[in-house]
Amino acid sequence: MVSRLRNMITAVTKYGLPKSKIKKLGSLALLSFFVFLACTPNQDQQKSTAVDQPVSIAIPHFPEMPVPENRPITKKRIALGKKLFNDPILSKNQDISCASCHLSAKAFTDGRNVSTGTEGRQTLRNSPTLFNLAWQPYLFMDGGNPTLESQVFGPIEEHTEMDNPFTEAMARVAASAEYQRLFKEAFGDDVNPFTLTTALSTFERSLVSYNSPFDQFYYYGDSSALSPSAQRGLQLFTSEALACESCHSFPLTTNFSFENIGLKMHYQTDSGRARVTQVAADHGKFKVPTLRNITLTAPYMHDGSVETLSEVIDHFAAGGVGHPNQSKQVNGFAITARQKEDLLAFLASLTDTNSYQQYQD
Amino acid sequence: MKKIAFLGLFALSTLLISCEEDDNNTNNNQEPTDTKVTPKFMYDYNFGADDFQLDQYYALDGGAQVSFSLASFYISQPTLVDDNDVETPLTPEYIIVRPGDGPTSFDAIESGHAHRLKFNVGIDAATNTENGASGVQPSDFTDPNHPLAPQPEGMYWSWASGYIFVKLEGAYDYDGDSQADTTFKYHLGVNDLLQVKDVMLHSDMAGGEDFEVDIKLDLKQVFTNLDINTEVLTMTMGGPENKALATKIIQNFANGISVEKHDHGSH
Ligand code: HEC
Ligand code: HEC
Repeated sequence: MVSRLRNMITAVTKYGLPKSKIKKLGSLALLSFFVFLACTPNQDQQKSTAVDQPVSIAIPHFPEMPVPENRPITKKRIALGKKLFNDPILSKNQDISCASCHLSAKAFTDGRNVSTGTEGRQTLRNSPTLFNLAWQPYLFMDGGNPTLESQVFGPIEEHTEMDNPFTEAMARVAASAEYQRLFKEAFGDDVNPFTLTTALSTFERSLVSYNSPFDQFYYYGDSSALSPSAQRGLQLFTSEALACESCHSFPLTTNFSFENIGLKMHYQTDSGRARVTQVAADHGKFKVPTLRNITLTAPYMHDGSVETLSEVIDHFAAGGVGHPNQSKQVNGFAITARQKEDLLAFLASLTDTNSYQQYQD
Repeated sequence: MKKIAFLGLFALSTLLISCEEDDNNTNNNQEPTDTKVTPKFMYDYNFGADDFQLDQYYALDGGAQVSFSLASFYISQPTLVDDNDVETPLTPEYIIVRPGDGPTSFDAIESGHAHRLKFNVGIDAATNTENGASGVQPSDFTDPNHPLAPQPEGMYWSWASGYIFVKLEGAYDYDGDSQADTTFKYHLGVNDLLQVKDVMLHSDMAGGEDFEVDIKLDLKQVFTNLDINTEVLTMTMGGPENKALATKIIQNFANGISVEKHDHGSH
C-alpha cells in the first residue's frame, strides 16, 4: 500500500496525468495527491489567497450551468478573459482577435457568409453566436471538440483563423507584465495552458442570453411581452406540423442533436458530423444551432448560404431537397404569408443581448 | 471554497505519514542503493543506413528524395515485464520524442530481469480525448513542460479533439534535383491506430546501474508501399481514404521502430 502510494505521488509530479484525471482514478489517487501537496510549496494555497469574487450564474428557467469544478467563475477571470478575447496578441500577425469574428453587436457573429481570418483567408464555416455556450455539450457544428477549454486551441492554431501555435500565443501573453499581473490576480498562478484557456472559457460562460421578450412571456407570465402576432408565431413554432421545437427545443432553442435538414443534395466541401465520425449516415448532419438572437446573426446555416429568415422558413416549408440522411421531421408544410409574418415575429422575440452585461466590468 | 476546505482537511490528516514517505522517495531517487536501477531510453533516428536529421534530403527508390521538417511522436505507458509476467510501469508515463533528443531517464525501479519491454506509439485510449471530455486535454496542464501540454508543433487536433500520435511533415523532390516539388503532411492518430510495441529484451538489470535501452527508428520504412506521388496528405480523419493512408503510414512507422539493450562497446 505504501509503495503504491509512493508510485502515485511520483506519477503526479513527474509527467503522469493532471489533477482532473487523477480524480477519476478514485480515492486512492486523490488521497495520494493530497499527500503530495502536504510537503511541497502549494499552488492551490496560493490560489486561495488571491482576492477575487466568485460569480454564480443561476438562471431559474435554464438547466443548471455546468461549470468544471476546478474552473470556478470569478469576476477577475471574466474580466481577464474578456481582455484576451478582444486582444489580437493571440494571432500570428497580431491582427485578428476572437472579437474580429465574434462581434458583440452581432450576438458574437460577424455578418459574413464564412469568416475571414489572418491574411484574408476564408474559413470553412459561418461564425456562430457565442451566447449560452456554457450549456453546449460539445463545440463546433460537427461536435468535434468536447470542452470550451480545448476549443481555444482551434481558432488560435487554425491556418485560416489566427494561424499561431498555442505555445507562441502563450509565450507572448506571458511576456506582458500587465498580463502577468492580471493572471496572478485572477488565478494566483502564471500564464500557462490551464490558466490561459480557463480565462477565455470563463468569459465565454458569462455570455448568457435568457431575458428576451419570449422568456418574459413564456416563463415569467408577462402576457404583454409578445405581440399577438408573435404569440401566434410561437404556436406555429411548437405545432406538430412545423415541428421547429422538436429540434430547437426550449429553453435553449436547441436539443444539441446532429441533423441533416436537406439544405443541399451534396455536402461536398463540408460533410458536417461525418468529418468527425467517418460514418456515411452522418453526412450533412450539423449540430442544431440556437435560435436565440437569430435576427442579429444573418446570414444563416453552417456555410452562411441563406441570407434571410424568410428564406430559412421557405426552406423548411419546402421540406428540404430530400437528402438520404435528411431528418424525418423536415417534411414540409403549408404556410400562409400571414403565418410566415407571425413566425418571423416570434423569432424576433428571441433577442436579448443585454442580460449578460451584468457579469462584465 | 469547498475545494479549499476539503484540501486543508486532507493535507492536515496526511501530513505526518506523507513527509516520511516523501523523504524516503527522494533518497531512493538521488542515491540508488544496490537494489535499484535507473532505466533509460536512448533515441536513434535513422534513414536506412544513414543517420537522420531534419531538413536534409534522403534518397528514395527511383531517384526521388525526401526531407522532413517534422518527425515527432509520442511514446506512452512504457512497461518492463519480467519472466513471471510481472509488469513494472515506468515513470514518466508520457514522452514526446523528436529527432536529436537526448535520453529519457525513468524513475529508479527494483533490479531484476527485464524479459520484455512494452510501450505504445501514441496515447492510450483512456487518456486520449477522442470520445469526449473523459480524457486528458492540453488545456488541463498548469505545467507547460508536460509532454501532454500544448507542443510547439501542435500534437493535438484542435478541430476534432485528440492527440496526434505521430506527426510527419516535409517535402518530396521527385526528380532528384534537391528542389522540393511538393510538401507532405501525415498527422496520424485516433484510438484504433494506437500501435503497441512489445519486444523481447532478455536482459538482467544489475542494481546500482543504469539500464539503457536503444529505441531505434528507421524513417525509410515509412515509405513501404507508399505512393509518394499521390499519397501526400492525411489528417487521419475526414473520410475512409484518409484513414486508410494513415493506417498504412503509422504501421510502417511502428515497424520502423526497433528496440535493443544498449551496447556500450558500439559507441
Ligand atoms: C477567423 C474568424 C474567427 C476567429 C478569429 C475566431 N473564431 Fe470562433 N468561430 C469561428 C467559426 C467560423 C466558427 C465555427 C467553427 C465550426 O463550427 O467548425 C467558430 C466557432 C467558435 C466556437 C464554437 C461555438 C459552437 O457553437 O460550437 C467557440 C466557442 C469560438 N468560436 C470561440 C472563439 C474564441 C475564444 C476565439 C479566440 C481565441 C475565436 N473563436 C476566434 C470563427 C472565428
Ligand atoms: C430536424 C431538426 C430541425 C427542425 C425540425 C428544424 N430545424 Fe432549424 N435547423 C436545424 C439544423 C441542424 C440547422 C443547421 C443546419 C446547417 O447549418 O446546415 C438549423 C438551422 C436553422 C436556422 C439557421 C440558424 C443559424 O444560426 O444559422 C434557423 C433560423 C432555423 N433552423 C429555424 C427553424 C424553424 C423556424 C423551424 C421550423 C419551421 C426549424 N428550424 C426546424 C435543425 C432543425
